[in-house]
Amino acid sequence: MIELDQVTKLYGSVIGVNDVTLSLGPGAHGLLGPNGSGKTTFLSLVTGQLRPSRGEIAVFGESPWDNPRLYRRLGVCPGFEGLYSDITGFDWVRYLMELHGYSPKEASGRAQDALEITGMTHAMHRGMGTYSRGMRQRTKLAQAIAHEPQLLILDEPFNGLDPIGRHDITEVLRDWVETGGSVIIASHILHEVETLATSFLLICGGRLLASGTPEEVHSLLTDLPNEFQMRGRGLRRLGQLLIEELLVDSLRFIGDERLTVTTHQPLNLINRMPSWCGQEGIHIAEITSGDDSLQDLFTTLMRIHRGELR
Amino acid sequence: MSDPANEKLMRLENIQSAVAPATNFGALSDILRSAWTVFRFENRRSRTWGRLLIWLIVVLFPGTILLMMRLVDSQSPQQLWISLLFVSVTEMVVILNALLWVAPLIQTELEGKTWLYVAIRPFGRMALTLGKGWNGLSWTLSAGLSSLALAVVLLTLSGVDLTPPKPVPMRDAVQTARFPEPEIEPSERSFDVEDWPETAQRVIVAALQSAAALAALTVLSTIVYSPLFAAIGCIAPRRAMLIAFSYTLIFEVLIALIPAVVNRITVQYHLRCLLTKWIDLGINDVEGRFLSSQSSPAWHVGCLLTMSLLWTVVSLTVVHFRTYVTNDEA
Repeated sequence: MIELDQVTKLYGSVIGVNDVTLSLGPGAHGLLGPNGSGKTTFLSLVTGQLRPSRGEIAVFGESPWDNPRLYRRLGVCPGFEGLYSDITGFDWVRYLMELHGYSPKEASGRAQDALEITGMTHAMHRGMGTYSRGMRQRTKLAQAIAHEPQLLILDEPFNGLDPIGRHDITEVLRDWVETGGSVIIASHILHEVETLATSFLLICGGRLLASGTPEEVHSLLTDLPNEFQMRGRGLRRLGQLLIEELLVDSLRFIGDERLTVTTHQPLNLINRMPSWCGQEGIHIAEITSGDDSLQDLFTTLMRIHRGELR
Repeated sequence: MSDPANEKLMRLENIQSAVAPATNFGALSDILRSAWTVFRFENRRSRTWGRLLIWLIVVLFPGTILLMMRLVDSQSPQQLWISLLFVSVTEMVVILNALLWVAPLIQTELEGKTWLYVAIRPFGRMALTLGKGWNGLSWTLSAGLSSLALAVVLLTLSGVDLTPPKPVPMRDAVQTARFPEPEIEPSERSFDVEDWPETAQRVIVAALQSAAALAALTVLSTIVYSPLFAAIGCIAPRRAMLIAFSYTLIFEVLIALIPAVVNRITVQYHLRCLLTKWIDLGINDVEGRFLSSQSSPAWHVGCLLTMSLLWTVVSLTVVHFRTYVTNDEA
C-alpha cells in the first residue's frame, strides 16, 4: 500500500524525515512519536503535499504528488485547525465532495451520511466558527471519510476531544477498519492508538526507530534493558544483593522506600526476588516493570535513541 | 431494538459499497468542473458585508473624485475627462481590486490552513487557482464596470461632454476597430433645456459610446491583470500583494511610460494604445512609442489575450509543481 525507499526530507538544514525505508500493507497503522518528531512531515510526504529531498515514495503503486487518481482513494484529516468560520459543516463537506466529482445531490447525501457517522448531525447546519474543538475534529473526520477512501490518514485525530468524543471517534475508526478500510493514525499519545492499530511506526527526530506489529517490535527488545520500580522496605540491602549478583546495570534510590532498577537480565532478577523477600529485612510492597503496553516500548526506544540507554 | 454501533457499521458499509469514481470525463473537464465548484463556493463565501463595503468604496471612488474635480473645474477639455476615467477606472480600480481579491488567492488558504483540504482533492490545486481567480476576476470586473458606469453618469449629469474632442467621420469599423464617433457640432456640446431632447440624446449617446470603449478596456484590463496577479500569488504566496504592488509600480507605471520597445511587455502600453485608437483624443505621440502604435487594435487585443493565457498557464504550472506549506508547517 505505501512504500518508502530511503526517503529524506530536508527543510533547509533541518531534517524532517531522515532516510526512512518501509513498506506498509493494508490495515490500521499507528504512527507514534513526540511532538516535532516528523510525523506530520511523514504524512505530508505520503499525501503528496511535500516532495522528498531524496528517495522515492509510492502509495498504491503511484507517486502521490498532485495525483488525481490517487486522491480519490485517500482521505486526509490534518492535525491543524483550519476551517472556514462562516460556512456550515454540511456546506463545507458537500463542497469538498463536489470537488471529488460528485453531483450536488450526491455530494449532499454523502456529506449528510458522513456527518451523521461522526455525530455531527445536530450541528451540521451551524457555522463552523461556532463549533467546539471536538466538533471541528468530528467535522474534519467527516470530510475525510465521506468519499469512502481506501486509505484514511489522520493526524492527531483525538486532539481536543473529550472522553466521550474519543470513544465515539474510536468506535467510528474501529468500524472503518472492520469494514476493510485502511488507516494511518499519527499521535503522540499511545493509548489513543493502541486500541486501534495492528501495527505501528515509531518515529523520532525524523528517524524510524521501529516498525511492525507490537509483537515484532517487542521481540526486538529482548536484548534491551528493562526497568523495574520497587516500593517497600530494606531496598538498600536489596540493591546491595543485586550488585553482588551482577544482575543490574543501574540503581536509583528515591528515599529509602523507592528503588528503580535497570537490568538486562529481567528473568534472573524476577526469579531471585522471592528468595530474597522476607530475608534480611527486605519487604517488597509493590513492583512494577515494563509490560506489554506500547508506552513502555516507546519510552525504551526513545531513551535508546537519546543515548540514555544502551 | 437496533444497536447504534451496528447502524454505524451498516452506514459505513453502504458508503464503501458505493461506486468511488464520480466522473468519466477527461482531465480538462474535471478541472473546469472543479474550478466552477470552487468559484461558486468562494463567491458565496466572499459575499460578506465587509467585502461589499470595500467593493462599494472602490466603486464610488472614481465618480466621487471626478465629480469633485468637475465642481471646481468647468473648463477642462473632453480628453482630460476621458483620460481621467481611463486612469481611475481601467487602471486604478481594476488594479486595486485585482490586488485585493486575486493576488492573495494562495496566501489566504495557507494562512487559514485550509489549503490542504482542497489540495488533496483530484485536480484540487488547479481548481482552487482557477476558481478563486475567477471569483477575484468577477469582483474586479463588477467593480470596474460599476465604477465606470457611475462615473460616466455623474460626469454627464454634471454637464461634462464625453464626446471625443476631434470628431472624425466614421470609418470602416472593421478595418480600424474604432468605435463610431457621433458627429456633434461644438455648439451642441453643451445644451440648453429648450434643446431637449434631441441634443441631449446625442450627447448621451456620445457619452455612452465613449463609455463603451472604456468598458471594453476595463474588461480587457481585468482579464489580463487578474491572471497576472494570480501568477504572482502562486509564485510568491507569502508576499503576494507586496510583490504585485511592486510589479505594478515598476512595470505598469514606470516601464510602461518608457518610449522604448520594453514598454510593449506591459499591459498598460497596450491598453493606452487601444484607448487612443478607439477614442480619438487628439494626442500627438511622437514616433508612436508611448501612447499609440502603428499596429492594429486587433494586434493589441491579441497581445493582451495572449498575456492573459500565458499568465494563467504560468499560475497552473507553478501551482502544480510548487510545494506549499501552511504557517504551522513552515
